[in-house]
Amino acid sequence: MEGRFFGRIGLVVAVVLVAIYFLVPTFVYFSLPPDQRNDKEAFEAALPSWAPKKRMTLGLDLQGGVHLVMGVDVDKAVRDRIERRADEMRAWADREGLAYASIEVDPSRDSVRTSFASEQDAAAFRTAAESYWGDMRRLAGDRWVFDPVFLEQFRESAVDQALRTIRDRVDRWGVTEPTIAKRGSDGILVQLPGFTDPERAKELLGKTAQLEFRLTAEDEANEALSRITDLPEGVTRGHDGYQAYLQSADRKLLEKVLEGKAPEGTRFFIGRVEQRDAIGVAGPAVYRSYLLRSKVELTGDKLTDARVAVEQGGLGAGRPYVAITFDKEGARIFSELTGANVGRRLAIVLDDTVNSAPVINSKIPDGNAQITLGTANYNQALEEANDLVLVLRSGALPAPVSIFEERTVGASLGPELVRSGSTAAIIGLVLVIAFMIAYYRRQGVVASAALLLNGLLILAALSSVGATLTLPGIAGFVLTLGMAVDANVLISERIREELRAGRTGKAAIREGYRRAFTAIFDSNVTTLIAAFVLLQYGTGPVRGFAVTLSIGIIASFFTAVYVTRVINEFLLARGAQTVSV
Amino acid sequence: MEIIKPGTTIDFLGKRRTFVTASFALVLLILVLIPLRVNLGVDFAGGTEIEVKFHRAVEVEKLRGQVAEAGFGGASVQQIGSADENAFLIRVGQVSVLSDEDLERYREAFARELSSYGFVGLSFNPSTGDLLDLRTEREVPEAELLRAARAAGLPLTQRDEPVRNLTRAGQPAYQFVIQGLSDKVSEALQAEFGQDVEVRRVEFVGPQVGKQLRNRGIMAVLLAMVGIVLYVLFRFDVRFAPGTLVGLVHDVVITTGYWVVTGREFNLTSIAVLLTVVGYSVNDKVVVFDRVREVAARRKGMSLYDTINTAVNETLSRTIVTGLTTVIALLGFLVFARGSIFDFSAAMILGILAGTYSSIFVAGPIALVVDRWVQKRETERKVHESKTAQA
Repeated sequence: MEGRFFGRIGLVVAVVLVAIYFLVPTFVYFSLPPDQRNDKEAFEAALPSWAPKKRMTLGLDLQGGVHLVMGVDVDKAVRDRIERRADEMRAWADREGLAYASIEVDPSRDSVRTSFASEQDAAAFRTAAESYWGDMRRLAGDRWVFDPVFLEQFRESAVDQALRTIRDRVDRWGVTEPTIAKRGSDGILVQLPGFTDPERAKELLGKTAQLEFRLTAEDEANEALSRITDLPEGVTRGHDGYQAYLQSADRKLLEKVLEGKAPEGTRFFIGRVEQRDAIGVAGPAVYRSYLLRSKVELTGDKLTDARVAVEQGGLGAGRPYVAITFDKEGARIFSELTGANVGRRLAIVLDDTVNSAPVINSKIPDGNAQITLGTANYNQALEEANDLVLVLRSGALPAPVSIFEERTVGASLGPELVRSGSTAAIIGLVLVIAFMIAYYRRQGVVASAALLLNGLLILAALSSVGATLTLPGIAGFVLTLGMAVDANVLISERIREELRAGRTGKAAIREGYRRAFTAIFDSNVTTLIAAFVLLQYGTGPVRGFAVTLSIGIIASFFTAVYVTRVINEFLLARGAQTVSV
Repeated sequence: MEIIKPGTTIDFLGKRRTFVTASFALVLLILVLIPLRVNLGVDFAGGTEIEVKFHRAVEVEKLRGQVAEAGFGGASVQQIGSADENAFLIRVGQVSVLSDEDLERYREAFARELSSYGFVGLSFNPSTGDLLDLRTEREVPEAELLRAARAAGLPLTQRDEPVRNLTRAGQPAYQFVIQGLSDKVSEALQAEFGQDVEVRRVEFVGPQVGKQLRNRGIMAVLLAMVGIVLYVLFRFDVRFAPGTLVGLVHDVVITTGYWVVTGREFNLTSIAVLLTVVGYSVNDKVVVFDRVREVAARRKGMSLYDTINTAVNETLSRTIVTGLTTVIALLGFLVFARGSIFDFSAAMILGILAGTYSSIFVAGPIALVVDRWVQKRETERKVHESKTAQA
């Protein structure tokens, strides 16, 4: 009995210690002055090395910032693609010498209708087209539609493109801890804490991505960089076999070093270097410089398609590559460009960020180019190819984005809400404790201790998963504490009943706990059901409320039932003869 | 300390007609008033909401006039917090600064200005208020587009890139970025109040999203109810499910009464309140039914009428104390919070009171009524069977 009893106390103490351990980062965070809180380095410097890294963050409603839901116009992207496919079909029929009467987009804009001068040509087109455009299907009356599977993939990739473009742009602003995620089938959620100019954000995010092809300037780069003698800390030199470059984890710093250093006719651009470890896991972002010619050789609107393909035969069989197709004018420009620059590199630039700079191996006359990837690892090459396709398509087939939802909170409102919210919470808590002690005397004190522990556990759980604290979250926290008391009310009422029925203190407590348990269990499960539905439904602040509510209910099983029982047994063991409820 | 003296035996079921009738009447009244009186916030109705604070005293009337002058006659202006805070909530139902008539006017102007390029059409981007799509037959240089926009008097954004070229596959298409609605409102206020005005919060919800959120909200509340009733069916007696369900609907409807009476905005937080009330209300009733189950086991042969009455009396103290602690916990928010969190707390308190009431006065009687009805059917069936057997 004694041993088990101390084991129980030990468990309770251990839980308290673990909870405090997880709260350390959150405590450190809030003890920093507000303007330093989001400074990662200041936070890490203040955090003891043994502490966990995750902490609670303030929601947008409490620290100010922009919340946007951008809608991707997937239907428009699909219609654009159909129009382009009609162009491609016309060009292809011309090339093959097939005389068509018309190749037009159907008025419904979901298919292409073809009709040929002779049935012979029509049949030739059908056979060839079916094998050439594997992503299309022919319906009756020579109506060509996209295969539903491909169409679904295409819709998804239209959203992925927009997501990638937005991520790159936000990445470039250096917003701390942004959230960028898909929402629903065609929405993108963007949260920018601390960013309080919604119009600017909307404009920058809504812009169509600009895809450009520019030649590299290798000799100029080597010369220009050799002239930069004093590099600040965090910027290092490198050479990719063609041109020298500077590299840094801090994009802004890199841009500052390069400012005004580009020779005439050239411009410095920044590219992201994917750093991977041996098993292919991406490391933290590192940026490098590229020196490119000022002249834009070709823009994205001349590109009609980009896709991942796999080499069929030869030495590199099975290796993924990216196939790109230009329209008529693009093909002409590309043919001249590649003819005059064999052996040089052509950089692919999206929104002023260099994705890659493949080498031109030979003249490409027909507007169908292949970009092979440097990596030998199959999976990595496939990933790079997919990424490059997203970049190319973002510039070639952009799906327009619009704003579905916008919520902005100014910087001054948040601190005021934090103040009034925490005052209200403390008052609520003090009142509940005062009432419990007045009403249930010693059992009220025990319940209050459990209540405080419950609060501690909720905060520790939120902190350990890096949850976001919102204003409804604070209200939910207090409400949860009010409801968590219910278990102790049930137990205390039961103990009173048992005492009235003539049981001794010890027996009354044992029976009180035993008999109250089913009611506590069933009532908590039903509240949990409601909380889980809320979790599925809610977004943002409401979700924060649901998370708090669920954690609080689960924690109350432990605190209100187990911990209070241990305390009661402890009090009885210490020789308390009477039970005071 | 005790609120309910032990051994209390109040005949709650005996007065069931009065309480159930009064409750039903109130619920019906609120249900009728919901479509007439509930003021859907931007979350569900779509639109724009702007919270502003002034650093000097401003009267609501004056502000209302200012907003109307800026072209938003239908906007609602509410003071929030105490009067010396000088904080206001401006709500504009529309999504864009442009009305349909405006659009028609611009369409005519563009058709005139761009006739040499073959004007095809000018249309609103339906999901957002600040984009206009233009289509022409031939490509138009940017300078020409800007000239035409100026001639038409289009309120273009002050930011860079007011016009975007979306020409693809040889089909000329352009997009004008017009001034955002919140921008226009804050501009008008800044012109009048200068540095004394501060825009603290802007919320914009597109009409499509609003509809989506509304449907999902209704679904969520229904889903929670169904889930909980299924749990009660599974854990307790079939006879208790209708009582729980009626109690639930009662509490949710009474809580909605908060928005019916006050005319405050019904938004996403309100759905959270309703779902929490669902959880709380069932929690309360489960405790009562759990006791009914126990009393029935303890005293075999007792009528359901007496069983329910005993159970309600035995749990009365707990029902009231739990309701009280939860209400007490929220009192701080009633004093210190404002805006949506004040509404959150006030409606929640109403919901908890309704839940406490219905656990005592509604759920039990319904269980009794259902039980009597089932028994009556049973006897009728038996009588019917014996009659057929005789025949």
